[in-house]
Amino acid sequence: MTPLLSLLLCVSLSGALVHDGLDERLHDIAHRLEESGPRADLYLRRADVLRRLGRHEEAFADLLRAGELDPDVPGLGLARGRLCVDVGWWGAAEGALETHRAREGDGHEVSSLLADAALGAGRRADAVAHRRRALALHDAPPPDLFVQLAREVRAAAADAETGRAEALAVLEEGLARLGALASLVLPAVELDREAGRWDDALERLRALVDASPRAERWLALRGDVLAEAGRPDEARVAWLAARDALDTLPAHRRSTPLLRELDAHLVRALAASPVDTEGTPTDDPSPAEPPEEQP
Amino acid sequence: MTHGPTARRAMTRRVTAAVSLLAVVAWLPPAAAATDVLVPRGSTWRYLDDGSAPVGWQLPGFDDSTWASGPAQLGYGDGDEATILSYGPDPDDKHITAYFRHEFTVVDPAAWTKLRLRVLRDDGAVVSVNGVEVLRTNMPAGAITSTTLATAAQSGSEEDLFRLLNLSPTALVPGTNLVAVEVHQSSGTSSDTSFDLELHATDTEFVVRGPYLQLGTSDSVTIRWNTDAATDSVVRYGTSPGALTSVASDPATGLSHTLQLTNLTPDTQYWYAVGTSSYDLSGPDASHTFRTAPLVGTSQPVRIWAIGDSGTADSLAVAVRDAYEAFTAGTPTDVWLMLGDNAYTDGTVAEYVAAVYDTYPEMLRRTVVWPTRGNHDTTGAYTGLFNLPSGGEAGGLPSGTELYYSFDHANVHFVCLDSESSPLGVGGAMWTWLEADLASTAQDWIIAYWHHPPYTKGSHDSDTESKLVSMRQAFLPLLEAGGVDLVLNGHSHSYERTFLLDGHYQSSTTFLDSMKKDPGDGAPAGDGAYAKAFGANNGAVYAVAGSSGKLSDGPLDHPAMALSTMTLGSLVIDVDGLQLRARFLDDTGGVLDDFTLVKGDFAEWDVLGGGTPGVQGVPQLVGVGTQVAGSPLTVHLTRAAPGALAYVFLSGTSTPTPFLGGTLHAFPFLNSFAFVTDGSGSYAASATWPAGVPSGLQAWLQAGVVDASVPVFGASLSNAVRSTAP
Repeated sequence: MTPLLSLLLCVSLSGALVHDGLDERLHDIAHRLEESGPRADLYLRRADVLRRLGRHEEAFADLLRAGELDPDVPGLGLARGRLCVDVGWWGAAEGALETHRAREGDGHEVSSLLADAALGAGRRADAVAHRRRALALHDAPPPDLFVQLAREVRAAAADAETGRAEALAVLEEGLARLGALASLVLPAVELDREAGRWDDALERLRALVDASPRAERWLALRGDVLAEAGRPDEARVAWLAARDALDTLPAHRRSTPLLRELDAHLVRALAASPVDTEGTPTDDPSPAEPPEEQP
Repeated sequence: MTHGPTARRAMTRRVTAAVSLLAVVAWLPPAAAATDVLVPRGSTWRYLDDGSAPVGWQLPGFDDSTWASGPAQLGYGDGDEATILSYGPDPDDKHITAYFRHEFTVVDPAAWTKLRLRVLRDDGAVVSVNGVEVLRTNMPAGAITSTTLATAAQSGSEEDLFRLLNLSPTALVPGTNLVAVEVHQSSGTSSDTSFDLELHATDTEFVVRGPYLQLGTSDSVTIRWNTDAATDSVVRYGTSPGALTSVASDPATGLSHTLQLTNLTPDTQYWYAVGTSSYDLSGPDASHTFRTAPLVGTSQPVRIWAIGDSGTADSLAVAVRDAYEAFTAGTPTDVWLMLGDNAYTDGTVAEYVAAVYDTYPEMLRRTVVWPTRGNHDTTGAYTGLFNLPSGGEAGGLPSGTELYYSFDHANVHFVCLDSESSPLGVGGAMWTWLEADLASTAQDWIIAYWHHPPYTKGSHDSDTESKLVSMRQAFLPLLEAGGVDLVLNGHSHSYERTFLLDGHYQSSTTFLDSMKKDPGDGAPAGDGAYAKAFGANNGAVYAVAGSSGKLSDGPLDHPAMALSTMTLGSLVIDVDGLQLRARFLDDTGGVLDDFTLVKGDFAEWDVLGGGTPGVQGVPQLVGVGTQVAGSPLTVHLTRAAPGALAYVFLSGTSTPTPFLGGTLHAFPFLNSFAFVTDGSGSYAASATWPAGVPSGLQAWLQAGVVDASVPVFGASLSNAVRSTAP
């Protein structure tokens, strides 16, 4: 995917759109309320659907009604906190969530919402602390939670180097808990490259190579890292290995846009790392030119 | 009907004893257990629905000979009743109570230690056995009369849940026994009422959920089940139904049981029974069997069943299920996909029991199910109920979460995405994982599925609903570039199926005919099968199959659709080598859609040799696109000398001729054009394929590149490509 296309997609996704599947749920809850009469739990659920539809005033009204019917209905504080986060009432959100936490105990969702509220209020360090707690409380944290925390610790750090190190530590934790996932390995490799931790980056890529039935992409990336590390001979070997891996694929697979792009990248990279007439890399002590772009 | 300890139990014990004499190593159960069904679901009941208030009706000996009789479900208003009850003359003042009686015979109640009664009631019920009240559900305390209202109205999936009660067999007597039930409405205006009941007996524990298969691979499968009381966990299994000689076990006791069978033989039929170290609780019988997946990459027939929005737990879902069971009889289901909204309304455990475990019990015992999460699977139950390959256990790259994952079966790579709860942006964890996963698969076919469809004008609108738009804009470019062939979704309660498409990522108003890689219906008996070349962006078919449990209206006018219909049904997909056939099967067994995808190099671009190396090796020429009128075609040249003058030769016939040290296939020339490669030695030329080209017409292309590094000739020659119009 080209950066331009990614940018276009991000822009196009930012437009306001209606939510899906929620009208159906709203209808279902209304039907239940009609049949059963006022019930705090149903108002609570309807408030959540209204919140997701962006009908915040109605959602607040339903929460109020739920509280009147049963002030102790489970999840009331959490629902208030969630709604306040959505509308940007950071202080009110934190109050509701802390109340919920005191009454009903902690959980990863409460801590995540507290992180969102703190982030909204501009208190990045608090946001990081809450997000860390959310991660610790999650039985099966998804990779996105680590990626998000890594971004936040980086943004909250006093300086770039500290931010990189802390973000990397978060991703390392994710890798330790979830295994060598591409969704964590690749951002970690990027941070390693920024920090010049070449061996760490190469070690991470080795895990991806081992896990993939087709490794040409990771071999090419390995070559890129080696080139940046000033190890042109090894870089060339890696790029050639990537090209060999490409060449072993049937023609129909080589014709995909991603692989054509990869092939062109390898051509450029190999051209910037010339060989002598004996077929071995030149003895040029200067590091190879980094490739223009990561496919 | 007369009941006693089952003959099957006695038979199993004899078989077990015989085998134990022969088997030295194998573990054998000291006994086998069984469950007897005293009152099955769908039994025939005497009933009184005239609004009167009988006296002593719940006692044995009461004369109910004037009552009507009919099979369960009994009720009205839902459309799934086997017997319709009367609610009286006034729909705004319906009878509050209906009465039901059913007799059955028991030889020896002491043969069992436990009874399990499950009742479906809408709205409330009081159940008596032999004149003694044993269950009061959704009814107030105190005296009950014919005008007593149920405590709360039931709606949605609550109406389809069976309430569970464990009883002591002392409630029964030798000889004739009576179950008597009164079902009460919550109001005189309630739109519906329902009743059914089942009564089981056992001398051990009950299996209350399962067994069901998870995470099947070519050498392993996971089996899960739940019991009503804590037991240890044992699975006996083997390749012959009469010789379950292998054992997996866990001595820890609990209600929920999960065991993985490992070191299995690929593509092999196994039989099994689950239970405790003392006895089997479920199986072995003909329904407790599964076949391991073939080795990854193997080309052999694969049957896939896809159901979407099936979680209604009602007669509509059952009709779809039964239609498929009848259709597939004799052909086992290899892969079963659930496209989300698997259990209405909220995906609670109780709703999953009703909509999945009670609705598809046989299928769950035989076939591994691979679900995705819908917008109604909102509680945490989903991830707890399934074992899904977050670690790449079944092929594909590890995703780190059970919410999205991939797996391989034979020569098919399946990708399950989570459109409900995972971040859907470009560059998010799921997006990054998918990009890497697609780049890592070497399978012939890629089938992706998730809940929210990228194209629909059914009960949902893919132009205006955020998750649908996000999936289309963020994930479709990635999937199509990765070579996806078929995309399955639910959400809209209809069946909608596109042409063979590529490159449609914006709203339906921007859809162009040129985005159809093939404008036909894909039916071998109609416009012909879709011929798809290997590789990326050669087209995919998108199908919404969200009508496996309910129907909802919509305009059904998306321009990308080859077919749209609001009909109950499911999708049956057969992959055999390089052919994929998909049929939409309605709830009566009719086939409403039947399309085929055939993959190969045949109709697109054959890569021929003939090249000679230049400064960057042999220049590579690749053709992309389909020779369909109006379709774009592109020829890519790479690995040529940078900034070099080059020529592409076009020929309508081929007489291979020595040229530049290689072989020129594109000869004699029909035409040629010159260009200059870019700084990396690449060049791409695009054109639109004209109309009127006859099928089978072939063209050869090859490039010559001026390259000073090449001795003697001063030029290199690319490989040749041959295109064939489909």
